Amino acid sequence: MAAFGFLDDVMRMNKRQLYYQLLNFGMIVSSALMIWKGLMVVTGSESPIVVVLSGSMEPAFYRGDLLLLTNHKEEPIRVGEIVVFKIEGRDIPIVHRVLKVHEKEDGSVKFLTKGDNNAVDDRGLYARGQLWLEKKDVVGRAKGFLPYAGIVTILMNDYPKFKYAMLAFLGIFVLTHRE
Amino acid sequence: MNSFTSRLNSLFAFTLSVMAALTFGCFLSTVLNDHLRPVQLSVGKVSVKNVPDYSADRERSDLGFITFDLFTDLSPLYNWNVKMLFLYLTAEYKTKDHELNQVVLWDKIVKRGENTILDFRKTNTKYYFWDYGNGLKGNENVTLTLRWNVIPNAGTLPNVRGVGSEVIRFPDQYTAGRF
Amino acid sequence: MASSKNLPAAEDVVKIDKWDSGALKNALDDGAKKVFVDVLHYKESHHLMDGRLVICTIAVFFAMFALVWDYFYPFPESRSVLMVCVISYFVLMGVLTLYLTYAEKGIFLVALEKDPAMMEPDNKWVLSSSLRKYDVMYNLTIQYTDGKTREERVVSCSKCVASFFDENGVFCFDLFSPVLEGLRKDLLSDKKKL
Repeated sequence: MAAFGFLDDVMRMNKRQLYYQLLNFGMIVSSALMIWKGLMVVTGSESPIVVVLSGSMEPAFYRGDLLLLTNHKEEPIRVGEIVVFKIEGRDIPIVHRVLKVHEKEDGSVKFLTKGDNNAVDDRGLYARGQLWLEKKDVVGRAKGFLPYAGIVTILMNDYPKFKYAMLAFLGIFVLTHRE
Repeated sequence: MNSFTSRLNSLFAFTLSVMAALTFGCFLSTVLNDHLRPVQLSVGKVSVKNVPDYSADRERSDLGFITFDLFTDLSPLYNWNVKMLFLYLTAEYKTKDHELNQVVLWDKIVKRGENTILDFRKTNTKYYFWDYGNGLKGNENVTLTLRWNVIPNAGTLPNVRGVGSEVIRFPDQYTAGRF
Repeated sequence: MASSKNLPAAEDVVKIDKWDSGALKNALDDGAKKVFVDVLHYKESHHLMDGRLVICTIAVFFAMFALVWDYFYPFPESRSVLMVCVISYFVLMGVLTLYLTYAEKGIFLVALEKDPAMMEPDNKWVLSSSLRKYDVMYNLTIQYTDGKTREERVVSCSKCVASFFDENGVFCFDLFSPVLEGLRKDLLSDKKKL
């Protein structure tokens, strides 16, 4: 038991203090959750912060950069904007730039995208038979940019063991460390 | 500060805080810039054809051809918080099918440090000028503008329209044969 | 150094990292609690701690509710529910901060001295302490409220933490409890003076 010195604090706690430790852990998780959901509400996007996963927008964005998105209904799609979209049936969000826009009077829009670092437009990426993207495919428009901030996410995606190890370590630390 | 790990921890936390503060400062220092510059645009040969669009739905659509001249000096736009400018030449027009159409004809990336004076004469477009429909023939009001997307080192990603535009008037007749 | 015949049983030995201010304060607070609850047999009142637990539980409940609601009704429809939950959560966090700053204020023990005859209301003993980070002075304040006369008396003392811990970080309860006894007697004798 000598090796588990960090458990000494826990051994000395009474019921209330143990419940408080659990609550502490819960509050940290809740705070992160509430900040994320709060951002969702404020930006209108289901994924207000995305990490750039591919190199198709170099030299503007590299793998590991962070983008802040908004997705307000009234914001129109215009060429030159950087949009994050999902192809129907696939989960991976793609970050590319709008190349063409054709908007009807009723507000319905068809648009085409292309990655800066790609030679051709994205028609090859869209679903079978799909030639244009529509508003419903859009996760958000990139409004803010922060370099390198998403590197930890890339590391955790590429090395899942690292992710589990870190989460386990953090969880145990919060649960056993008395304030 | 009694152990190596606690010192490392403090150092790491402090470094992160300082970097975050500097990044925020970098963003704040340029957030009020308007990024406007005058642009001189003119158009040379203008013609339109009506051919099946093999890149899209194979319907017969209007295909426009132009050559353009472009001159602008973008040097004042570059500061410590500008990584690069993504320039895109946009044709904007209205047709009977669509209230608003925007097509990017040509784009260029100019990174900080590269030549920022643009002087293009009688240049061909990079992308085909396909309409989604047949709205280019006889269209007297196709506006050509140069716009740019400012990619910062950290901060917002504004799309700015250069001051100055040119109107393209497409002829009433389709041009047969080659160009 | 405590002599061997005074060493408590092995499980009661409190050994901490002597350089950790948080652990030092907790050990001293626990020692004071031990005097009042285990030795003097006063009853500990959990009201303050319970208040804190209730606020935190409600806050976590809002967060979990938002999580579950959003899972069943994906984002755009859940917007108003999420907004309510997020605002409530942060309001509760504000309430918690105010509670900790103004209601709790470093109090770690509220003990009730029951009248052995069960006729008079309890006397209330409130203990609070502070120990700044990397500082060696532990400040202990005891506030006594007489159950019958409703009169309040306060006494505090500042002691260097080194007087209660040996080189290995073992907490010497036998050196600490006389200090508390002394403070308690000061408070009671003050009462008699008037």
